[in-house]
This record gives sequence, C-alpha cells and structure tokens, in this order.
Amino acid sequence: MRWLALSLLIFTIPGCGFLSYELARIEVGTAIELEAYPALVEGETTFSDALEVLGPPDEIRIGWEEDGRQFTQLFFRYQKRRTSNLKIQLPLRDAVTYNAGLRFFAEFFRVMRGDGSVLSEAQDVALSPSTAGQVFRGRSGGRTTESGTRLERSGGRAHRLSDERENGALAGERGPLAPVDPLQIEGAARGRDLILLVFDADGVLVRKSLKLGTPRTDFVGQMGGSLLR
Amino acid sequence: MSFRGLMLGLLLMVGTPGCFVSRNTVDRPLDPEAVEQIAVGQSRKEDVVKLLGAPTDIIFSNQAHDPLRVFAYEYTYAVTKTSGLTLIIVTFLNSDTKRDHVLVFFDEDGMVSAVGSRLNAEFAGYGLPFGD
Repeated sequence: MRWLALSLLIFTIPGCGFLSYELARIEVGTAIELEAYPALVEGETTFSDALEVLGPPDEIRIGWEEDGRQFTQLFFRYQKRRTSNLKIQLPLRDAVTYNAGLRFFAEFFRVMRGDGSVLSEAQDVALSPSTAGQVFRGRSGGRTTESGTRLERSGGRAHRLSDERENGALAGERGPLAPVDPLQIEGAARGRDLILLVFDADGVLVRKSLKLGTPRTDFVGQMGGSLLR
Repeated sequence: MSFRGLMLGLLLMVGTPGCFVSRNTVDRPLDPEAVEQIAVGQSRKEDVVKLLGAPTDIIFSNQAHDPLRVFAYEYTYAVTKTSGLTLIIVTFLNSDTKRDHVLVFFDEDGMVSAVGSRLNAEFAGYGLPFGD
C-alpha cells in the first residue's frame, strides 16, 4: 500500500506541475584553440598562416577598396557560443490543485482502510490551508448534510465530496481553487569565447584580441550565478 | 528480481517518461580526402568544385564587375545533437552544434591562394548541460 501511495504521488507531482526545475544549455561551435593564440604575431602572421593554424573563421568580414578588386581589411572571427537557461517554476494555482490531489488521496486511502469518516476540519485545513469558507456537501447512506461554513462529519463508508462553488449555490465564488499568480524564476547566461583577427591590405595581421566569456553551466552554480547576481 | 529491484525499475520508468535525443543535419558531410587534395597555387576554382561540389556560399567583392571577382568559396556541414532528460520535476536539456567548415580563397586568376578547414561535425555530442 505504501508503494502504491508513493507511485500515485509520483504520478501526481509532475501532473500538477507543482514545482519544476529546468536547466538547458545550447552550445554552438568548437572550442577555440587558445594554444595557437600566442603564435599569432602582429606584423608577421598572414591570413593564410591563420587559416592553417586556426582553420576557417566562423565569421569573415571584408573591407574592399573602391574598385572592389582588392581588400583593404580582413576580419576573422573565431567563436564558440553558449547559452544557459535556468527556469524554476512554482505555479501556486497548481500547488492548490496539488493540495486538492493530496487531499483526495488521503480521503481515498482513509475510505480504503475502512475509516468511514470525512476529514476533520483541522485535518482538512492542514492539507489544504485555504478551505475557510468553502462549502462541501457530504453524502452518506442517502443522508445529505450541508453546512455553509464548515465540514460536516457523517457516518458510513461511502463518501462523495463536491465543491458547492462548482455548481451549487456558491457557484462562481472565489476560493482556494481560484487562479493565483505563479512564481517563476528564470536565469539566462549567454556568452562566447572569441578570437578576433584583423588583417591589412597585404593580408598581414595588424590586430588580435581574445575574449573568454563562455558561461559555465552547472546545477548549483547556475542557480547562484544567474539568479543571485 | 527482488521486489525492491522491481519497484526501483518501475519508479525509474515512471520518473523518466520524458527522455529524448534528436539529431539534425544541414547540408552534406565534407570529404576530408577531397579537402586534402586542394593545393594552394595549383588547384583552380573548377578543381575545387569538382572535388567538393557547389559551394554553400560564395564570397564576392562588393563591387559589380564583369565577371564578378570571386574571393572565396565556403563549404559547411552542420550537425546538431539535442538530448533531454526529465526526472519527475527536474528537466535537463542539452544542444550541441558543430560543423565541418572549409574556406577556399582564390586570387584574381581563379587559382587557390589559401585554404582553411575544420572538420568537427562528428564531435557534436549528446550529454547533460553541465561543466565546461
């Protein structure tokens, strides 16, 4: 019975979306070759050398002289991009639904065990704290009891609980199942490792720059780094 | 199998209903042997096309000429591997894109003046979104 209850809970949790944690990483490109960077010498290295050492750039831009036959500047950009997204969601509306689900299972197992009483008001509040003012109808053995402010205890083994707000006299009333704003925390980190090379009209390296900005992605660090920064 | 093992297996199946892997490719893989055969100062545009096929992209000069000055041919092949794992309430997604990339430069006579290649598409991998 305990295993069955656990399995049902496991089914219930994702179904209700009670709490979700999503970590996603999107990576484009190959790691840039840092070892080769010092070998690129301004005033000496040509763009052919750079092609040999680093391979083709991920992005190329060319400045042309006026007649368009010869380039005046050549920009090579080598990069590896990474995006890390973290999303934690606690939809309160679903939390209430989850409470209702728990309550249902508690009631279900109570009946299965042969304990034929409806949850006490204290027990009910413990499971679903916002039931104040809610109207339930408990039906037992053909006898129906109603209360406008609290739950009625009644004997018998068969129970059916219905919420009066659904189609009873209090239909449309706002209660614990009314929509509540969800809590959502999102963190995103985007970055890239980048080598930028600029060549002059002769194809000789005139400027080089290196930037290491790829964010590290990990279960805890992402939470601390992205959310608390 | 013990009852505990059975339940563990069952829980694992219940708890991991959202696992998937996917593989997307753009264009066709580049043949490393064909890339090797492109020789600076010897191969011409026609040879390159014969070896690697039509380029994915052509880099022209920014002026209109007759004929246009073709500066470089670019060949690419990209592979994206995506994997996802859902454990009850926790979801991990990882997407890795890597590509084969060849850039062939030509001089004004259409002769190959420089070649650069990186064939990394095969290194795209499935995994979890952790670490470097």
